[in-house]
Amino acid sequence: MKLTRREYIKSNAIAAAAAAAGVSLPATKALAGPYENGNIRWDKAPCRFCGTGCSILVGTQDGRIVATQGDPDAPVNKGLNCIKGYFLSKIPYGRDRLTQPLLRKSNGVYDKEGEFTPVSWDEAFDIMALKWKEALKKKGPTSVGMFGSGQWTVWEGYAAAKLYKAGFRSNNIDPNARHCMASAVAGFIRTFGIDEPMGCYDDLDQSDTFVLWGSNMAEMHPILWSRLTNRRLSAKNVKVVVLSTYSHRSCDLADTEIIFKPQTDLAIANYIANYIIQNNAVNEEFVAKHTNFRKGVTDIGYGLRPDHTLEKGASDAKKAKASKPISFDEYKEFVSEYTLEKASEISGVPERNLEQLAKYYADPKRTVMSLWTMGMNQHTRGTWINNLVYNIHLLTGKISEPGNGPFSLTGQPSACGTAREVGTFAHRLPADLVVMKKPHRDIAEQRWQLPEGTIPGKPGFHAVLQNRKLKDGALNAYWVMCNNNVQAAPNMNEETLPGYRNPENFIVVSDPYPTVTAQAADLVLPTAMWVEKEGAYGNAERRTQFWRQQINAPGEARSDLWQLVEFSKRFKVEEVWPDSLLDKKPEYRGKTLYDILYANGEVDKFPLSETQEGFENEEAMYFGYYIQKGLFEEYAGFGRGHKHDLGDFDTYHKTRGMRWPVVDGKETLWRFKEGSDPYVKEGTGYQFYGKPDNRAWIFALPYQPAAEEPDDQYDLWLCTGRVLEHWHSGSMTQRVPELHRAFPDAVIFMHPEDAKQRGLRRGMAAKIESRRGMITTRIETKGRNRPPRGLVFVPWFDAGRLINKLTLDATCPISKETDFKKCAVKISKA
Amino acid sequence: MKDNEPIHLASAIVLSHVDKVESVKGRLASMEGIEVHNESNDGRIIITVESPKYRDVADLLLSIKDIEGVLSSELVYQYSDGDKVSDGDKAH
Repeated sequence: MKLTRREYIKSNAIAAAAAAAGVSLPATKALAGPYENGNIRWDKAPCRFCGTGCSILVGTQDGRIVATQGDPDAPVNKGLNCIKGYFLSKIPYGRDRLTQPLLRKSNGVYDKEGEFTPVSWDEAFDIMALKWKEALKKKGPTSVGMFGSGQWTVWEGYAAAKLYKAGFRSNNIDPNARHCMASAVAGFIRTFGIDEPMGCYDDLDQSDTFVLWGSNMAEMHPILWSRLTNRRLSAKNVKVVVLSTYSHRSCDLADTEIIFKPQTDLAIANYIANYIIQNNAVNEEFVAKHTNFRKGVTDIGYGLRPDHTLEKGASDAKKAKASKPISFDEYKEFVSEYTLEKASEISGVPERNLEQLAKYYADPKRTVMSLWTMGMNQHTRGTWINNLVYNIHLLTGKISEPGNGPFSLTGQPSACGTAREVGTFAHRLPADLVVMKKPHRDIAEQRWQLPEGTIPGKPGFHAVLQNRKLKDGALNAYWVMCNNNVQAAPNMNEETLPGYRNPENFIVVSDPYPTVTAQAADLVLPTAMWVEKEGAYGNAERRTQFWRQQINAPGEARSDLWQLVEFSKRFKVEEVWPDSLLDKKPEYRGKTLYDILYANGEVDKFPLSETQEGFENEEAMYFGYYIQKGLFEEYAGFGRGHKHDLGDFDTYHKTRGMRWPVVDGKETLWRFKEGSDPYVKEGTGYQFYGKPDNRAWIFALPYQPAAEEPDDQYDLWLCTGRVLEHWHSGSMTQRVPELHRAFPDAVIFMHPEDAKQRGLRRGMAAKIESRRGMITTRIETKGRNRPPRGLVFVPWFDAGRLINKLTLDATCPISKETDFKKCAVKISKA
Repeated sequence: MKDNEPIHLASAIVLSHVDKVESVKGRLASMEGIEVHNESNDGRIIITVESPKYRDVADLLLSIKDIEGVLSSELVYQYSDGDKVSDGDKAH
C-alpha cells in the first residue's frame, strides 16, 4: 500500500506515541507503509533547553530540521518530550537570527555610542584583540573577563576556562549557572566535599515519598514530573509533598501542600531534624560511622556591596564558609529550639502539615527523595538550606540508595556537565579542583603544560561582582557568551546596565539572536547553536550525552568553540605573560596562545579521519584536527582515576549517555554506597570520599530573615521565576510565535483579595515597583500560579517586561548566588 | 489535502485520571485538529494534533493540560515542513 506524505507522517507519529505509551494499535493504524519521499535522516541529540537531558531524535531533510521525536531508546525520557520540544525544530530559524558580526560604529570607526554596523570576523577580532591588549597592558589580567554558560557544550566551557585561566591568567570567568546552581554546588562541597547528586533519576521510579523543596517540577521539568506522577499513581503508599511560597501546578498532585512564608524553609528543615531526634528516628549506626557535626558562623551578611548597611556590621562576611566541630549533643541542643509550635509560627504553616512531613522523613520503612531547584538555590541562605536538607537525609541514613536521597535538579542543559564539572566558575578548575589551592593549580598547570605560577591563586569575580566591577570600571574587556545576562541579572538599572554602557568598557556578546544583552553590547558575534555543531552536555543525574553536527549555521554564524579558539590566535604570549613566567618555559616565546593552549600536542592529536563520515564538523575541518575529541580527552584526564571518571569519547556517540564516574566502561547510579559505587571500599558500607575521613558533615545553622522583607511602604513579597513554555529569558522560545501567544507577556500573579484591596482586578494594568525600579504589566488572579496574600509572582522571560529592574542584588554570601525569590515591592493602578 | 501542502502534525500521550478517561477523550475529540487513536487501561490516551498552521498545533497541545481530569500531556513526535522561517515576535 502506498501512502500519501501526510498519511506516512501521521502513521509514524501515532506509532511512536503508541510505542512510548506501551499501547497496542489496531493493525491498520500500525501499518507505516513506504512513502517514496520519506528520506528523513534521524540522529540523536539532547534537548537544547532544561537540565533534564531528554534525548531527542532530530529529523533533517535537505539540510533542515523538519521533525523531532522523543528518543524511545533514552532512559531519561523514554520516548517522551515536553511542549518545549515542539519548538526545538524551529529555534534555529527565527527571522532575526544573527548572521554576521555587528560593531557599533560612527563614520566608519568603532564608537560606543554608534550604530550596529556589519563587519567581517577579521575586523571584529581586530578590535576585540586591541581592547583586550589595552586592558591587559593598563591594568593587568583582572581587567579582562567573561560571562559564560551552563548551555555551553563541554568542550566550549573547557576551551573558555583554559583561555582565561591559563591564557589570559584571569580567573574572572563565571557561568550563568552562578545564578541557578551555585548554592547547590556550595552545599554539596560543604556537606560532602564533592559536587553533584549522589543518586539519579531511577529514584523517581522507586521512591515512596517525593518532597519538593522550592521546585515547580510540573512546569519546569515536565518529563521528570511525568515519571514521578507515574510512580505516584502506580502505588497507593506513595506520597507527594510540595513546599513552596505560592501554589502552582505541582501542587495539583500533592498529598500535602505546604505554603510557607519566604525564607522560613530554614526553620522547617531544622524542625524536621529536631522531630527526628525527639522521636528516636535517628539512624544511629549510620550517623556514628559516616558523619561529623559542625556549627557554622552566622553573622555572614547578604552578599551586597560592602558599603551597604546590611554588610557593615556583618562580622563573619569575609569567612562566611567557616565552621567548627561540635558534638551530636551540641547539635541536638541547637535544633531543640525548632519545636513544632515555633516552626509553625515562623513559617505560617499549620502544625499538622509540618508534622506530616516530618513523619515521612522519620519513618524508617519509607524511602524519601527530596527535590529542589531555584526555591532553595536562589536564596540568601541558599548554601545553608542545601546543608539543612542534607542533614535530614544523613540523620536518617536515607541517602545513596534506590528511592532514598536528596536531589538538586538543574535548569540548564549542561549546568552540571560544563559549568560545574569543567570548572568554569571564578574559583574552580576541572574535576572539583579550585584555584585557591596550590596543589590543585599545580595539577592543572602540569596537565596543560604550563610554567608553574601561570594560574592565579585568587578567585576571580563571580557573576554579580562582575557587574559591579564593570560599573566601577575595574573590569574593562568583557565577553558574554551563550547567555542573556542583562535580562537575567538582578538590579538591572543600578548594577547591570551602567557597567555595560560605562565608556571605559568594551563589551562583546556572542548569541544566535539579538537579545537584550546583545543590544547593550559594543560588538555582537553571531553564533551557531545546538545541532549546528558537534556537542556534549551533562545533565542533572551526571549523565554525559553527545551529539553530532546535523545542520549548518546560517550566514557567518560560528560556534562558541570556533570563536574562542580562533580568538586565541590573536595573542602572542609575550603580549599576555610577564617575562618572569616565560623564563620558566622559554620554548613558548614567539608562540600564540592558540599554539600553547590548543595546538599543544594533546588537543590536536586526533586526526580528521576519526570524525564521523556523513556528518559535517565545521570546527574540526577548519582547525584541521578533531578538536572536540582532543579537548574532551585532555579534560577527561583530570577526572579519570579521581572519582570523576568520564568514559571514552567514541562511546558517548554510540550510547544515550553514561553517568559518571564511568569505571571499566560501567556507569555509576548511586555514589558513596558500597556495591553501587566502585570507589567505595568493601566492608565500609558508605564512604563520603569527598571528605578526607569519608564522613559527611551535618551542620548546625539557624533561621535568619531575608535581606529585604515587606514593610509599610513596600508591602508585598516579589518572587520571580519561569513558566512552562518559556525557557529562561525567552531568547529562543520568544522567537517561536506559538509560545509567545500562549503566554504573551509576563503578568503579575496575585491573590484576588490583594488585588481588590488596591482597586485592581484581573486583566487590569498595574505598576509594580521596588526601591530599585518599576515596570507596568497586567494583573492575573487566576490560572496556574496562585500566590497567598502578601506575595506576588512575576516570570522573567519577557524582554518587554524586565522584572530584574526590581530585584535586589543580594546573594548567598557563601555561594554568591542571587536571591531572585525575595524582595519587597508595592503595586498600584497604572 | 494536497500532497504538497505544508504539514504541521504532532502526536502526544495524554495521561488521564483512570475514572475520567471517557470524559477526557470526549473533550479531546471535540477539539478541532485533535484525533484520539487509542488508550491504555491505565489512562494513557494516544492523540494526534494537526493543523495547517504551525502555531495552532502548539496552542492545542498547551490547552490540553487545562482539561479537567488530565494529569499530564507529553509530546512524542512533531513534524513541520511549512514556513521556511518562523515568524518571530514580529508577528505580534
